[in-house]
Amino acid sequence: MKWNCYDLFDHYNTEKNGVPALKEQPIRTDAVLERVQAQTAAHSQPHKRSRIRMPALTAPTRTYSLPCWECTATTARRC
Amino acid sequence: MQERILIRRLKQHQPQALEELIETYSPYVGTIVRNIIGKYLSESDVEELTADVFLAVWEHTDQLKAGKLTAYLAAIARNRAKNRIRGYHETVNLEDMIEIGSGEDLEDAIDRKILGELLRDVLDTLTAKDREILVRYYYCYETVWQIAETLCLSESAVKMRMSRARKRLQQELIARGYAYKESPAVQQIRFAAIGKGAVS
Repeated sequence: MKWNCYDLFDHYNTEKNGVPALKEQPIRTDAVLERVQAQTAAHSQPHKRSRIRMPALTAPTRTYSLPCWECTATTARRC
Repeated sequence: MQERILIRRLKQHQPQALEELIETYSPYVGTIVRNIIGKYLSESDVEELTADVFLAVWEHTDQLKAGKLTAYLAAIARNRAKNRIRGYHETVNLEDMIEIGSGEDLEDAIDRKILGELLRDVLDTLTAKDREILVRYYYCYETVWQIAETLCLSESAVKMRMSRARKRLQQELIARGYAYKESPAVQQIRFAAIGKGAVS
């Protein structure tokens, strides 16, 4: 069986054995940065809260049906 | 020292540290990515993959170690780029193959960890220059021409050293029991059960 040396080097441990310094080729760093920032912004954006529309809270306009302290009739108004 | 501080800031998830990391290391990462996918894909793909490498680092800052940052970036860049071109048909030159066993897939037979250790041991038996040439060629995907220029050698000298190193690799694999021995009596391929982790 013939084995591909490129595949053999898949098992090369860079952290233990190190990597050579390469003659670096130029790259558009700003384009890379832009892509990364777009992705990290998308990841770190907080989830939008689902806004539940609540009816406005206003002072209750209830009429209390309390017994009249004079005639004991259950009415809101004084007899 | 600078790297240590940068890593500490990255672990604190400081966006400014990520920017610095990209500005400093994107040419290195981009070079590895371009060496691997450059002939198949566009420059925009190179940038995209390079950005992916930094995103992976950003998401796994806990794995960063001082003094190992370049090695870590190189490993991610190579893996990502190789995964990307997996769909493309890659023809491998016969010279880049070494004869090591029967029809069985060696990777299935040997544990990945053992294979990593084995490769390290085998590489240790080579001279520093030969080892560097192999790593540059097979790990960083540099061309013979690039290696020759960097190491101030002629292209034929690089090729000769590579051929010698490949032969050495093969010999070491055989010596450690990872390759077959042909028995003339039965004309059958047999694994030589020598050394650790030998397959039978």
